[in-house]
Amino acid sequence: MNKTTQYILDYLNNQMDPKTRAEFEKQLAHDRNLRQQLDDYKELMQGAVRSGQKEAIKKGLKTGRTKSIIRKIVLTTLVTIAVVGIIVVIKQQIVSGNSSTHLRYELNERNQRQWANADKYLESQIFSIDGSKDTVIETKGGILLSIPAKNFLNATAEAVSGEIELEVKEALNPLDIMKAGLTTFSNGRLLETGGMFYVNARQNAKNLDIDQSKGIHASIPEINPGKPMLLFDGQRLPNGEINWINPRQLENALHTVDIMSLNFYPPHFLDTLQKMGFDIKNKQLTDSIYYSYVCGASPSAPGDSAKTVDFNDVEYWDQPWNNTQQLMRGEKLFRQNCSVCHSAGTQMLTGPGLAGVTQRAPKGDWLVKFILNNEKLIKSGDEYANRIYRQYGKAAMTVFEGQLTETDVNTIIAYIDNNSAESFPDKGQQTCEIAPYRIKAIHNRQFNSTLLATKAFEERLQSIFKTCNPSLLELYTRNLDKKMYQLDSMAAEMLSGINPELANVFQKFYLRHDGGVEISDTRMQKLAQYLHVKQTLFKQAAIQTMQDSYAKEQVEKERAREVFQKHEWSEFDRINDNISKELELNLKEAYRQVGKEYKPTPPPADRYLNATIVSTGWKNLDAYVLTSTANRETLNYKDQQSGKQAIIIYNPVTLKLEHEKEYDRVIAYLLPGKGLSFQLMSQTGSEFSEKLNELVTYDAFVLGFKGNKLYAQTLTNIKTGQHKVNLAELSLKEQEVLKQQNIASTRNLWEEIEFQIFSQNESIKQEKIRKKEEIRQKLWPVVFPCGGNSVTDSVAYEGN
Amino acid sequence: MKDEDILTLLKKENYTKASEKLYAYFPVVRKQILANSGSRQDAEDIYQEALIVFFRKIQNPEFILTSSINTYLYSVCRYLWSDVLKKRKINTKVHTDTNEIAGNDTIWEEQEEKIKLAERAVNRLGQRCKQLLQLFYYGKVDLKTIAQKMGFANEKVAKNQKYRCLENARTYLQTLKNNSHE
Repeated sequence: MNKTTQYILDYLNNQMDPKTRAEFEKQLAHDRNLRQQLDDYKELMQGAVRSGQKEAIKKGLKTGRTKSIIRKIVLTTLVTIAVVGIIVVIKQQIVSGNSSTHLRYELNERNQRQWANADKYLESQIFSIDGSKDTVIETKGGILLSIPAKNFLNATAEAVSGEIELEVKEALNPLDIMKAGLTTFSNGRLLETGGMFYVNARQNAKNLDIDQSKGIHASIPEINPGKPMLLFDGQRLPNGEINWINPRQLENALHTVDIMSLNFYPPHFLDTLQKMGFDIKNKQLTDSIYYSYVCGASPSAPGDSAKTVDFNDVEYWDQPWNNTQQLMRGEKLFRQNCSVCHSAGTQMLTGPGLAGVTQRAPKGDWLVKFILNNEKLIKSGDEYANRIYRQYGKAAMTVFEGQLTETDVNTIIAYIDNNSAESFPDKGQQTCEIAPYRIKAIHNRQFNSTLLATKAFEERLQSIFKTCNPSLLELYTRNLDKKMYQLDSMAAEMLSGINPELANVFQKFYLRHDGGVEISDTRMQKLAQYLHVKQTLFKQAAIQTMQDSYAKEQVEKERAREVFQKHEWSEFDRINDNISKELELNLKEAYRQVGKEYKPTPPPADRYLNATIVSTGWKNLDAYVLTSTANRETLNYKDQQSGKQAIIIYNPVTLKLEHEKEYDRVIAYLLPGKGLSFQLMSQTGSEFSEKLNELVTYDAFVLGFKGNKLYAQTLTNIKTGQHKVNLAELSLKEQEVLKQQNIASTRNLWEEIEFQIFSQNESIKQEKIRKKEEIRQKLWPVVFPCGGNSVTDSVAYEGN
Repeated sequence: MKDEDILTLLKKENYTKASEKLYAYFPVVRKQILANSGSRQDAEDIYQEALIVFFRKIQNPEFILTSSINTYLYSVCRYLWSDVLKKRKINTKVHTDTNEIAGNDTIWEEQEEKIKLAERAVNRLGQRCKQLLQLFYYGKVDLKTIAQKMGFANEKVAKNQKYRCLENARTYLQTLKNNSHE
């Protein structure tokens, strides 16, 4: 034992001889440290008095309450569980004979010779433990005893190490207790038992004491679940029975677990996801889905243009927290540099509140300039700068040039802008039921080893979600130093009158009498601060991500529209051009066949000489060829004058696609020779058909899409008739070859393919957005059980 | 119930009996606290604290009770509850203009805060340690009786245990003090 403590206590208890006392007082006058210790002990003694007074008051109030209840007092059923030196009453006649074999020593744990019958008839379980180590043992009946190191003291109150013999006797099984014919009494009052056990420790056959400041933690299997249990000490009576005394409340110990192993999602969230075919073991994925919900609006995914629809892909879902880093930095910079003179809200300090400043200040980089060097801007005669300078009493603002970079300033502005969204509720958000950002703020390892990192809280959270009332969540998250049952009782109180059914649920939680988790005041304050900051940030980040994602989608939509429009115009030109070229080809041939010379129509001149035409010439022939070319029909023309025939033959060709169902979309092109451009074949089911001009040789190129993969086959020099098409994947290398060929030729096929790829991706994207919206709609009522609107909470727990 | 009876009981330091009688004023306090964002548990805690403040103040010979006990307790409860609400960050409608009755004896309160902290340290001990210290310092029970009552082998063991419990309480107290200074 500590000598100084000994002296101090002796001094305070007035147990010092005058000489020592005088010496001690002399030392006390010099030694500040000693005085401090003395004060501590003085305070502790008074603290013990106060604690005792409180106990007396509690007892008195309890009696007062009992007496004030007029109705007849129903005898509460109590339960015996005995600790340290205790046993069970067993009637001698039932277990007779070999009694004393279970008595190992002459003296009991109090060094007395008195033993109860139960001592004699219950079998001893002996455990050998090492006194210097933490030990957990499990008895035959399933009692778990956690024994801290240095828990046992010898006669001189020194912690013992080395081998210790731990003796346990137990009667937990109802049958055992019944067989033993147990009638247990507490000062004459009948108890209903929940089991009894005896624990004693010895070293070298000598009794050891338990260090009262440590103690053994015992977990006893519950045999009467749900009944409020009390713990009694046993007192052996001369007649061999045991009287149970000193009852005290048992508290369900809460064990903290890793908070990340708990399910903090709303009820049925994971079930629903699983039914939809999501991989619910992928926590990153399920988190990103859950946290993508912003109350009051449903954002769409920005979409990733080169990917197939894979909903199990984390990146696919919005991550409203991407902005957090920047916002956190902005918040920090703001706090360090600006907050002395400015609020980020509307409140006026030395300078104006900065909410909405980006809207009211001149556009462009004015704000950045002003923040970096307001003096310069004022001197330059800038009107707005001078106006606010006068408006705020010509108070000089710090010049930040050299301290902050332009990026820093922009980060701060972004933070202020976001904060403005907070103070201007019309910016598209509303208070909500229990929004994911609130959960995000608590579901992280910062809250490990607190009340929240318990299975008990996980259970309560499910019901908290059902209340749709953030105040309930705040109640638990902001009172980490309270016992769980106290919070349950408050919750029940808050809900009574609003929702009796749920109030009842919390009342039932309360009756479990779940305890608390130790937390220091400092840690609690830090966590409260943490919670506040994170909630604000996550909320802002969620809103901003949603807005960003909308904006991005809008931009992409516009871009896609432009591409489609452009393609439409260029196709129009290309097809026109193609037809004139083929027409020219056909005309030449037709003229040749009827023995005339073909003269191409001269290009339109800038000026025209007017002349009167008197003969009709070959106009009708041209018209036939034009019709034939445009319709791709065989021309069979007989010239009236010469009797000669002009024949241009178009033959049908069909491409039959194998395994058509495997592809999202297939396009077939004819690639004609003679400088003509490609031509789209018309599709019916799995067949592509077109007519071939006999004058021209044709290749065919068939392109298939499946997700973001390309499949192709080229058929060279195809003739009339039916051809089978088997597509094979087009590697990037082959695509590159195709691209090079295209550059060499004039057929522009690659541009077309690129457009088709774009178009394919666009439709994938649209499908993704559509499908995601569908999923969001389905999940919405799970995430927000009350429909996503704020619940009028009559009890506002949040200060703001 | 007469105030004098209560005061007589308190003079004898019979706190249990006094509290039993003072239970009569509790329902009103509970009703007030329930109506002000509190729970039953809160109400009990507050009333207990109010009684202890009252009992301890009355020990001080300089303390003069200027109102009836009922009024006094009621105002102390309001004062304590508004404090709790402040800590829980709830906008409070509870008026705290009753300080005059509740008293603003700052020196006493400062000392009392220290003792409250020490009480917390004691309460943080295990049940047995707490019981031992309460019996010894509040109940003024001698160590021999304590040893019998609590099942210690003898007086010496009880004394040793008491030292140990106090030493432990002091470590708790120091952490509590450090935390409250930060």
